[in-house]
Amino acid sequence: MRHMKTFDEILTIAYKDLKEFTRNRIGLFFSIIFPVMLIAMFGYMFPSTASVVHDVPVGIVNLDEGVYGVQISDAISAAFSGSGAFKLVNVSNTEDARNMIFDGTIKGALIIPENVTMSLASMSQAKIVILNDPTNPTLSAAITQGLNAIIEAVSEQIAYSLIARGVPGIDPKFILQPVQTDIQNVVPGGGNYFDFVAPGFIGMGVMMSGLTAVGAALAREREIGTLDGLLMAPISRVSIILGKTLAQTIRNLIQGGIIIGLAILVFGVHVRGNPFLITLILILGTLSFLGIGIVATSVAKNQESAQFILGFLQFPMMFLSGVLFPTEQMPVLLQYVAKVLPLTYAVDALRKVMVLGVGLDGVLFQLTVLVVIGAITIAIGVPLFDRAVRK
Amino acid sequence: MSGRAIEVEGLTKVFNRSLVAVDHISFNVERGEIFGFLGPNGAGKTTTIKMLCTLLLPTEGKAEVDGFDVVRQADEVRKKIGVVTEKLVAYDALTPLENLTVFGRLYGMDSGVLKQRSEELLKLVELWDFRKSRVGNFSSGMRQRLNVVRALIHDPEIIFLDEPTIGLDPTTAHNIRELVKRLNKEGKKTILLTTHYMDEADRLSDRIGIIDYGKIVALDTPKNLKAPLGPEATLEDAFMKLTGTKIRDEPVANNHSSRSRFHFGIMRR
Repeated sequence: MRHMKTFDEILTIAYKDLKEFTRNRIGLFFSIIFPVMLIAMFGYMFPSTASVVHDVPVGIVNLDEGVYGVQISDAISAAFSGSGAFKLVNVSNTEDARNMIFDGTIKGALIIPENVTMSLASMSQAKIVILNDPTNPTLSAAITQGLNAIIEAVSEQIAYSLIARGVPGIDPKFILQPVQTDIQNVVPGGGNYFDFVAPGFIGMGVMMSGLTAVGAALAREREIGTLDGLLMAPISRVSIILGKTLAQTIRNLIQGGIIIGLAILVFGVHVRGNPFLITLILILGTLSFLGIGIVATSVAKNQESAQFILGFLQFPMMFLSGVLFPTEQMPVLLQYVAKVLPLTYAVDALRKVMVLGVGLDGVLFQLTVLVVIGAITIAIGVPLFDRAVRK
Repeated sequence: MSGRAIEVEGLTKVFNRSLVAVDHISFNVERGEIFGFLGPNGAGKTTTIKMLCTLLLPTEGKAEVDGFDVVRQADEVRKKIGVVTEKLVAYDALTPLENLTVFGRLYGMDSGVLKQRSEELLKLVELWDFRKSRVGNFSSGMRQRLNVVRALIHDPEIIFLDEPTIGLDPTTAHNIRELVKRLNKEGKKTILLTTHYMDEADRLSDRIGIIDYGKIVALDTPKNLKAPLGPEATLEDAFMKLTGTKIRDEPVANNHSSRSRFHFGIMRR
């Protein structure tokens, strides 16, 4: 009986909030157009120059047991040990390398196919594959650049020795570049910056509206006086917050859906993952941000200071959570900061699912973090809110 | 139902550990009575009402509304009271009917009853014709009429009206006063009313309590309050005598104005 009543209270508040929201045409329009605009802006500003990287793990798979396979792999190891930019990880086969890129253990891989020695011995060009992670185009570019340089050096060595041997009648293309690289993505197609930023901005949209929504709505209702009406009704405080949370979650899902739709249609973004999993991430992301928003509003005395607190939380998240560029490119200290921001996990999970088509297993950790943050902040926020309104 | 509608005993509210907004006040409101609660700005009227309506926790003292403790039995109190606050409690984006529906449902009203009652109330304040337009487009008179009936949707026994006629044109103010009278006479409702219009308080109230500096300085029928000042005296004269004498007294006057502002700041939060 009591539960039915609470449920009805929650639905009433959610109904009211959604109705208010749908009637605010301008607000509705801009809440959708804002992330789309950001995707367009940053999608076109594709950052072509890779930044400096440190100790990025890169896999190496040597499938060629012949003399050149060993020579190339040794040359790469030697070059890597001196650079400091990359950390070489030995991987036994291509499939493993692919999986390690999926789960983030390595950021790219270099594959020496089994026929390298054979090709070189028969005086035809050999190909070495660089496997990239499209969720991280700037880092991929840096890895490709680094690996290319190393392989060119190796290729040159081999060319010198071949020329020195003076074998007649060989292909000039072969003599100039006996080893060539072939750049591939772990998933077919894709890999543009739109694919990278779209999940980031969807995550950010969820963060911004999640953070401000319930908090700002409560602050606004407190300011205009309607909150008193809700508080004087014989309903529990939890109903008020959960009702607003429900409304906001529905709103975020619709908003996220429209943004994904526009991203696919307008920007040709590839979405590979399961839509239900994307929905789940959006729900959990919303909840984790809502809790923070409720805590912030309860601590603030009025709407204005709530806005300041929320802005203070929003901006670091925008720039440090990997929305615009991979967190791996940031200084170590900021990487630690990124690790405590819930948006980092929401964006990471969204990107893995949307770009790589990873299943639930692949984002379980990120989802757990979001659930924990959401549960803790809502558990703190509700009593704080109760205290703040009754003093 | 026995006992008084409202019983207040030593009720005190201190803000930020130092600002005493309400200072150990005690008074009772009988069932079926219209009780005028008057006082200068910042005297502690709204703070008192907020404590009685379970919106603020008292620092000290005790208050019962319809026999229920405002702190320990807040939910019971909430079911019994209807409160017309200074600010409009209605959503601009919704229509009057939708607003009444939202609040009626929060009071757990059956949808059939709620529908019928909404129609009755909106017709009562002549908003029925506007039931489908948004509150955001309403004039201040229309908004206040809605504000009053919004508080009546669940047919509460005890009604709090915090300056219900403030800033209204004479006709609207008159209509609201008539409504208050009818609720009291025909509906047998207990009403606690605050107002700055002495004439209004005089005409409506059975008894009047005057609060100043957070303390009750007078509590009696309007007639008895005016009596000492002669046959021609108005309630305003009585009010001025009780709260305003200090203004003429220079040192206290400064004290008074500065404290008033202080209180005002608190209320505005």
